[in-house]
Amino acid sequence: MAPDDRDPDNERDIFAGWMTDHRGIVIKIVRSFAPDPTDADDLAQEIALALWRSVPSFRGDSKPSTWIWRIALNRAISWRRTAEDHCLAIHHAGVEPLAVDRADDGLLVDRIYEAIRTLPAIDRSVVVLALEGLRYAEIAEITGLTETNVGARLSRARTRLSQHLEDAR
Amino acid sequence: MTDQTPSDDPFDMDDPIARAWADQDQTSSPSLRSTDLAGLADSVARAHRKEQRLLIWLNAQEVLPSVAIAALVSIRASDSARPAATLLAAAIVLAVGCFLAITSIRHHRADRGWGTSVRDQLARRLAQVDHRARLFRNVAWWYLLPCATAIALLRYGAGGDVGTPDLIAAILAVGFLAVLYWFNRRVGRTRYEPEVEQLRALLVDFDRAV
Repeated sequence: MAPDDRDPDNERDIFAGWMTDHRGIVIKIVRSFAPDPTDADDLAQEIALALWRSVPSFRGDSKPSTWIWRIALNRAISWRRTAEDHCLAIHHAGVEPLAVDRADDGLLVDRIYEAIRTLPAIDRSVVVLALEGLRYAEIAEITGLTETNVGARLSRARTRLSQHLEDAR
Repeated sequence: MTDQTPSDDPFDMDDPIARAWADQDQTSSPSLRSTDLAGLADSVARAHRKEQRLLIWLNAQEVLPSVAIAALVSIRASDSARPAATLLAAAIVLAVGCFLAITSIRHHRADRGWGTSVRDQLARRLAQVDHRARLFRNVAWWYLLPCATAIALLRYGAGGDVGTPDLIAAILAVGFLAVLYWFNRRVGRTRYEPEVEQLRALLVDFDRAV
């Protein structure tokens, strides 16, 4: 589905469609990158706004999920928690609350997210994409890494994840 | 880079981590609090429009004063002792205002490379932020020096002897430009240079062999 040039209704429908079908991507990225609920609020808003801005450029050449992964990961990786971000959050105050609820009820998945957040940003992205079931070639396409690099990073990250989960037991 | 040869599936579904991840939608309760997707789309669209209006306002703040000053100075050029110098001052003020506006518009309209890989998006962002950082770092050359030249030309265009009031005005002008210099450098150092460093570090990490 590609938008007509600057058709506001069409852009709105595409954005709403993305958020319906792929909101899980945003949730998982926010939980993997934001260390606390306030940060999660800000990061989720940042990602939503970046996705909205990207709608006019979406021509349907790639799958919507690939598009969303690329934009959301880019925002998450380069996201900085600074005073400026606070100002930006205030500036974006018009955006509906989009924050990710954190169950944090001791489930294994919560500990996995905690372990993922200890990884370097790029390794974090690779792990999340791999856990989503994407293949090496797809992860390489989304991130811009080589497949070999993806494999090496994943191997290293998996060891660290297992170690972290062992320690947390 | 290692010689590791990846298989097709990065995570085996027998892996407890992969299983827990796959089951999270059923077993865990993370959700976007906003369930009204139409409302969300409207609010994001509103926030985007607000951003665009802010950009127009910022550009107006840069262009309108320079146009007003240039117009005022041009009108009074015929009364000055050296009209050519006065008109040159007006042209410099106008040029600085236009440069500011064009740079701002180009920065905000720059192709962000949506849809390209995460690495390429970061590289584009780095180019944009680095350009902003350089503008703030070199503010003395493209902003303060032309402004100082325009002030000097205006005074020269007015003619007459240089007296104590001129010296006081010169000291005040230098002080004002020094404050502007300090403020701009501070913005560059605190706002853009850390982001440039962060993006450079990320790109180095992207390109690093593991």
